[in-house]
Parts: sequence; C-alpha cells; structure tokens
Amino acid sequence: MEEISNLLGLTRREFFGQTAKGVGAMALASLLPNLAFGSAFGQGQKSRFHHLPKAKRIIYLFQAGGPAQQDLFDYKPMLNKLHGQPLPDSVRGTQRLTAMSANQAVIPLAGSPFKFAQHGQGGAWMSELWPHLATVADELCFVKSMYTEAINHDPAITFFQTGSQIAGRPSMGSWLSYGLGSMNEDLPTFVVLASAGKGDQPLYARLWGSGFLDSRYQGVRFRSSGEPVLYLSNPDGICQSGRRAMLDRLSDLNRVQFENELDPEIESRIAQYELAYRMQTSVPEVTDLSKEPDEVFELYGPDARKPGTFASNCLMARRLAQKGVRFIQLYHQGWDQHGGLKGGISVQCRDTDQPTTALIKDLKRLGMLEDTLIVWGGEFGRTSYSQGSLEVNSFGRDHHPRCFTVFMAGGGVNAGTTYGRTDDYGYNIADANGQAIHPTKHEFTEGAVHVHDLQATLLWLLGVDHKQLSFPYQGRDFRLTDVHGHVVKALMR
Amino acid sequence: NAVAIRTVAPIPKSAWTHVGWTWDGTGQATGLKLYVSGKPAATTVVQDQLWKKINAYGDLGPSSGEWSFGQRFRCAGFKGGKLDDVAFAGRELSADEMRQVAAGAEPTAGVDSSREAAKQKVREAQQNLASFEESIYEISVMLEARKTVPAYVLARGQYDAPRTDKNRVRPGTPAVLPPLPTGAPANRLGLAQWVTSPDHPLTSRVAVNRIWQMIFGTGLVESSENFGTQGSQPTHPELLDYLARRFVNSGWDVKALVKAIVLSSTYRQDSVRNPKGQKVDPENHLYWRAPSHRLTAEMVRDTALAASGLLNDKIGGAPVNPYQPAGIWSENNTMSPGFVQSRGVDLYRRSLYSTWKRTTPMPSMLMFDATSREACTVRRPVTSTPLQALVLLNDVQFVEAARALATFVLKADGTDESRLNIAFRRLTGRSPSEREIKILAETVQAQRQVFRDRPGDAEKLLKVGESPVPTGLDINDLAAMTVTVQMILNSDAVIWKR
Repeated sequence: MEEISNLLGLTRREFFGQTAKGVGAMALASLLPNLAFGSAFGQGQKSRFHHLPKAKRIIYLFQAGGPAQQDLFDYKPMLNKLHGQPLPDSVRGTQRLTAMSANQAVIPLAGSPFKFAQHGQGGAWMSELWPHLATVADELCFVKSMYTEAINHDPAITFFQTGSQIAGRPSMGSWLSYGLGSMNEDLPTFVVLASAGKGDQPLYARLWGSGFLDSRYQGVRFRSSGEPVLYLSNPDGICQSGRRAMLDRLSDLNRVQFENELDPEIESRIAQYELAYRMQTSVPEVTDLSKEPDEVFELYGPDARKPGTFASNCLMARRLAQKGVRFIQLYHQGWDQHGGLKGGISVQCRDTDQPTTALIKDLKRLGMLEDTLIVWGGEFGRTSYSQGSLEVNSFGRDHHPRCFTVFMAGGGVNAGTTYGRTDDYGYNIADANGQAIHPTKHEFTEGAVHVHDLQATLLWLLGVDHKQLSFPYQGRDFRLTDVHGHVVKALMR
Repeated sequence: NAVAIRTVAPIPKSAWTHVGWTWDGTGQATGLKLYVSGKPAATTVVQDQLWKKINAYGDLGPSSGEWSFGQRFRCAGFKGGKLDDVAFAGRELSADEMRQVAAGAEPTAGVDSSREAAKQKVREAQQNLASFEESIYEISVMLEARKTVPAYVLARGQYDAPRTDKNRVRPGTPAVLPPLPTGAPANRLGLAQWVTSPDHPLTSRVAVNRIWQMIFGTGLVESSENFGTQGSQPTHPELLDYLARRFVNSGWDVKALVKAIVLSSTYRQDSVRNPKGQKVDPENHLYWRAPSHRLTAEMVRDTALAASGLLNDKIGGAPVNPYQPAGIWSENNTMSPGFVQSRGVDLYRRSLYSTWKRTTPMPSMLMFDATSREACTVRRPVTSTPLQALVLLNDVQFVEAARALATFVLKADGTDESRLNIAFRRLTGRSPSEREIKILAETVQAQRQVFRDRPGDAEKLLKVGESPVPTGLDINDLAAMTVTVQMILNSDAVIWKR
C-alpha cells in the first residue's frame, strides 16, 4: 500500500514539518489568541503587551448588590448630624428617584451607625466593620469617586464586567484572555469563584462569558460542591489506567484520520484531549486546600476550611494565582441592603474582612503582591438617605450610581492613597473644594472615575491599551471600554 | 389582560368624597360602573380586554382574594390622599342602592327571587367560561395597537428627549431598499409582506446564504449576519443570485434547496486537503474541496442519540430538561424556578427542544460554542478546547449513548470487528478503514481485560444514565464495548463532518 505522502509527492518529514511543530506547540497555540480574529495583536513570539505591564494577574473581588460606602469607607459625619432630615433638593438636583424611593413620603438622611477612624500612614478612613482590613490600610488605593449610569443590578454588574448594560459583549476576563493568552497549560486562563449559598440578587453566565469572542476565552467556573470543574471526573466504573489506555488508542485513531485528511485541526484535537487529561490532575491539585498549613487557615479565618465561603475562595484564588491563572474573579453576593442594613452589612463584612486582608498579606508574603492586581468593589453605591423607616436596625439604603467606593491593592497601584472625594452628603462626587460636580463618561473629569475609566486603568496595569484591544463585530471594532474610558495614571505608583 | 374605566370628571380635592364601584362579572368594561357621591359617574373605557379569572394579586404574586386600593406593586400610589370607611357588598348593588349607601344607609333593595335565580345561572355560566379559559395555555403574541403610537427619533436614546414633528418618524423602509408593496398597510403586516416579496433583494439571499453556511461551514457571504457594505463580499455572486431566485420560485422550499446543494458535485467532493490547494486557497473560498467543519453543539448530542437509538424524534410540544450537573441553576439564581430534569423518553429529545435559560445556559452546549442567545448570533465560533473533551468523555449523556449503541451491536451476531463496523458506521456515516478497525478491535480486547481485572467496575459503568441496564449480555463485554464506542464518539471522524 502506497504511503499517502508518496502519493502527494512529499516525504513524510517534509509534510509533517510543514504543518506543526508537534503536539506541544499545538496545545499552546490553541490557548493563545486566534490569529484569524481581528488585529495582529498577540502574534506568536512577539510581545503581546502594548507596554510594560505592572501586574501579571488580577484577582477581582466583586461584591454584588452594591456595598453602602457611607457605612464602610466614605466617612460622612454630616449625615449623622442631619440624621432624619430630608435630603435637600439642591443636593439631589434633577436626579429622579428610583421607583422604590419615590414611594416614600419623605426621604430622610441616614447617618451611619458605625464609627469611623483613619488608618495607616495614608490616613485611610474605614469604619469599625473592618478590623482586619484596617491593618493593611497602606496597601490599599481607594477610589471614592466611582460613578456609573446603571441603577439596577443586572445592567450594572453587566456594565462592570462587559462594558455595556446590555447583554452580548465579552467579559473583562475574556478580553484579557483573548489579548494576553494563558500563562499556564493545564488550567483555564480565566476562573470564576462565587460564594455559595448567598442567594439574593442573581449572577449570570454572561458576566464571565466570551460574548462575540471565541468561546475558549470564557471564564470557567470552579464550583464549591461536587466536582470543581464540570465533567472533570471520570464516570463511575472508569479507572484512570483504563481511561489512559483508551485515550492512547483514541490518539491513534485520530492519527489515522489525520494522515487521510491532512487537516491540522485534528492535531489540535489530539492536544485538547491531552490537556483534558492533565486537567483531571491539575484542577483537583489546585482546589485541594487540605495540604495548606494551619497558619494559613488562621490567616484567612475559620471560614476558609469550609468550601464555597468567600474565605475559602480567597485562599483558592491565591493558589490559582500561584499556578499562573491570569484572571481570577470572585463573586460575593448579599450587599443589597434596602433594609436591615446594620445587621446585613455586618454579616457581609464579617464574611469578607479577614479573607480579603489575608489574601493581601498572603500574596505579599509570597512576593506576589507587586505583580498581582486586587480589586474590591460592587456595581454601584447606596443612597445617603434611608429607605424605609429610620429605625436603626431596620433602615436601609437604595441604589446610588452617582458616587461609590472601590479599592485596589497590589499590581502597581498607588498604595496608601485615596483618589477622589464626595460632597458632605456623600451624594455627589465633589471637586477639590468640596463642590458637587456631575461628570459624564463622554470626557474624563479629574477626580472622578467612571466604570470605563476603571476598566481602562485595570487593563493598563496589565499591559494592555484599552483602545487597541478590539475585535470587529457587527460592522465596527468593539472594545471593553466601548468608545469611552481614560486611564487614570494617578491610581498608579 | 385587564378591564379598566376612568371617570371623566376628576374627584374633587380637599373634601371627603364617596366613591363606589360595581362589577357585574361579565368580563367586559360595560360591566364596571363608578359612582361618585352616590350618583353614576360618566366614564371612559381605558382598557377592555379581560380574559380568564380576575386573580387578585398580592405584592409578589397571586394571593387568595387580596385587594389593593389606590396602589399597585412599587407604584407611588394615592399620594397625599386618604381612604376611610371601606365597605364591601356580596353582590352587585343597583344605582338606587348605591345612592342609599352614599347617604349612609344600608342597601335595602328587595331581592326578587326569580331574578336572583336567573342571576345565579349567569354567574355559574360566567364561572364555567372563566374556568375553561384558565385551562388554555397562554403565549404572548404581538397585536397592532388600535391607535398608532407615534414614534420619534430620541437623541442619544434618552427616553425623555423632546418629541416634536421635527423628529417624528413614520413606518417605512430604508431608501436603499424597495418601498413597501403597493397596497400594503404601514404596519407589521405590511412589513411582513415586504420582507417576503419575491423581489426583495435581501431576504432570499440571506436565507440561502445561511443554509449554505450550515452545509458548507461558511456562507457565500462570509459575514452571514451582515450583508451591508461593511460585510464580506460574496465569493460567488451569480451563484448566490441563482440559488436565491430558485428558492423564491420554488415557493421558498427549504428542503428543495438543501437537496440541490447536497447533491451538487461541489458538495460531493472529497474534503481531503492537498498542499497545492492549501497554499493557493487555504480557506476553501473557491471550493476546491468539500467542506469540513465541526458539528454544532446540538448536532453533536443529536448524533450520539440518533446513532445509539435513544433519540426520541417526537416533533413539537413542551420543552424538556436533559441531563445537567446538579445545582447549576440555583448557584446563579435562587429567585427563579429550580431545574427539574426530565425523565424517560423526554431525556432523549432533539437538542432543539431543550429548555434554554439564557442567564445560565446548558454548560455542555456552551462548551461546544452554543451562545447564550442574549444577543443574536448567526455565526458561531468553532473552537477546540479541553472542556469539550471532558464533556464527550464524562457527560452522562454520552456515556449512556455509548452504552446504548454498544448494547445494540452486541445483540447483533458477529465478531468484534463486524460489530465495531456497525457502531462506527452509525456514528460516522462511513465504514472504518482496515487500520481503524484494527485499532478498535484491539481497544475492545484491552478494555475487556481492564474490566475483568477490576470486578465491580463494569456494573458501575453500565448504571450511568437512567435508561435500564440490558440483561443477557456479559457485563465485561458490554462495558468494554461501551468504552470503545465512546472512544469512536470522541474521535474526529464523528465530531467533524468531512
């Protein structure tokens, strides 16, 4: 029987040499940006970065529901002084109230029941809800003047994650995965960890989805119960050696097909199976926290031993970071305190204070804090006026897009500083003189940080120019920051 | 779904006013009456479209007879007003009685027993009608509003931007495309007639292009979602025109179109690549070889089900919930109904019938590039990822399908080779080569030994999936054949159309 390659007039070596450098290269190639898409950004051996990155990886601690900045970080003694008095019209201006707030006969200002103090050399203001975080105040870079247009959770979170309030666009992690590729071969580039059992406002697959980008860039959710990655474990009755033997024969079968069809896609397929096999070991290895020493569990707190808690996820995030996962996204729901704020927010802080602090300390200890960017924040802020009765245990705050607080750590941020401020009512972003200003996303306003500005800044820290990372779709080039976004250099060291 | 009336004259402010209303249970606006200060008030009909029963809704769902006055869920309500002395009667009061009640007295109209009996009959008939309507399944459809709502171009999409004659727009079609057909109404019906008119330059071409894309992997116009100047140019414009015209002339017959394409000599070429072709035209724009592309997510599952004999080819009916790992819906969202997996034959319907939850789509589909459907996607990307491998290797659906096909071939007489031949053909549509059969036969032998060496494993494997475990077959044989059939299912020959 004639060799196929002879029929083609080629030697075997010539032919195989032309197609690929072998299985390993193929495997890596499938994890790198697909050159058929969009710009030449991300070509093979050339540097994929637009400029030198400060951070190699990012851990985004998303606090879903809208944390109340007046009770956490944005100290507003005026609210306590004017507690119970109606919000002056001049402060609210022309902003319409939400349907929920508009129901109320009065909208009284609500002081925070929590005490505030300044911490660290930078004098960061934090409420008593942060006993642990206060000890790392000088690692943190606060932004008090975040703003968005979205007023409800679904569009607001979608906006933060994908750059649009309307579904369909790739998430930040997918953009980075597409632009920068993977740093390891055995784990996904973009991993999602959500705190289990938190209920409240839902999450959606689109928050870590790839939108119109290739689906290989979508986030892979690591689950806290059952198998960490879906379909990871062999079916009952399939032993590892039997599966290995089958995979070897499958490879042989595919090789025959390859020799007939000569499609490099088949080699890629063979590589994917090898990768899947390796993931069956590498994923359980990274998700198995049991080998961590006791001191680590003490650092992250008692919850860290319970799978699915925020603490456990933070520890997992550190491990994933060590293994070269580029974008690690945590979600912690439950910040939507329309009522019962005092009790509710205390629980939220108890969930997140120690683990967040531990993560920062842990990464620092490992020498990884300087190239790991940590972001903490929600999708919008909360109102300085109370929703519902002003009784201290039952009052709440409504959604507030005009100003809220986010903080960052590591990865080249300007640690120990606070950027931007709000007016005395905590209702508007204020200029340096304390006068309310009303920035819009259409142009950058010094002191104010729009969601797109934050996105542009995060990308910059990772070595990406938000204006250049784009993808053609529906007739135009899309990017994470839409047609907006300004890199805020003041947030960087 | 409501009936509503409104008084013509406003209720006076700063004075207590007696307001009464009556309802005769007919379901029509004429059955609603309003009385102000005991006198019938002139009213206009706001809405007259009620069907089924009036379920009084509480704040977050149906309740058993809760009423609200001056308020709906999260509405500002009767601001600045007060309500007092609310009273209910158990029957429809007459105008005279309403006058009495407004004056502070009890309604005292005599009750005519024969009239009451007749009314009772009417009431029963109404209840029967409403109960019958309740049982009818509702789906939403669009209906042309009785009065056209004017439309305006709103700058920057601000919904409170000014609306004037200057920015008013009327129904029409883009100037670059043909106008509405003569006589067509300027509404959705007219639009539908326009879209399907035989000479519409886009509809048939776009449709033909999508079917071409499905069969060839890429359309004649590659940007199948965009036929504009910013989209791709057709590689074969005359062919596109020819097929489009033929499609329309056939009466928009999709089957005829598909048949014409797949019986063409272009499609019936070999998909094998050769170096010359790859060099000159690597993307096969000139169709020098047959297409080769991966099956879609739905086709992958349907192929496994069809080849295994599990496929339930019922057409139509309610959607179903195939296998899915536990907790997927609830871990994202505790507010929505929980996932309830289908049972029995419903588990094996075509993938097109699977419930599609856009905020938490089926992971096994997503991994094969199905989209969430939150945005319209005409062209799916085609990827090759390790997560796909994990699905095909470990998902219950595919293990079970392999077991079913293994059972089928083992029940046929023959050798390992002849049985594997059948399995291979059913999954790939072609016969295996000698080399392939050799690999398959060696595999099944080796796997047989694996299962013999590990008693208990075969039983466990065969229990995967809800279909009953067959009897009368050697379990190690069946397990080994299951693994081998699943290996075929994972191979390129099944997943890629060549």
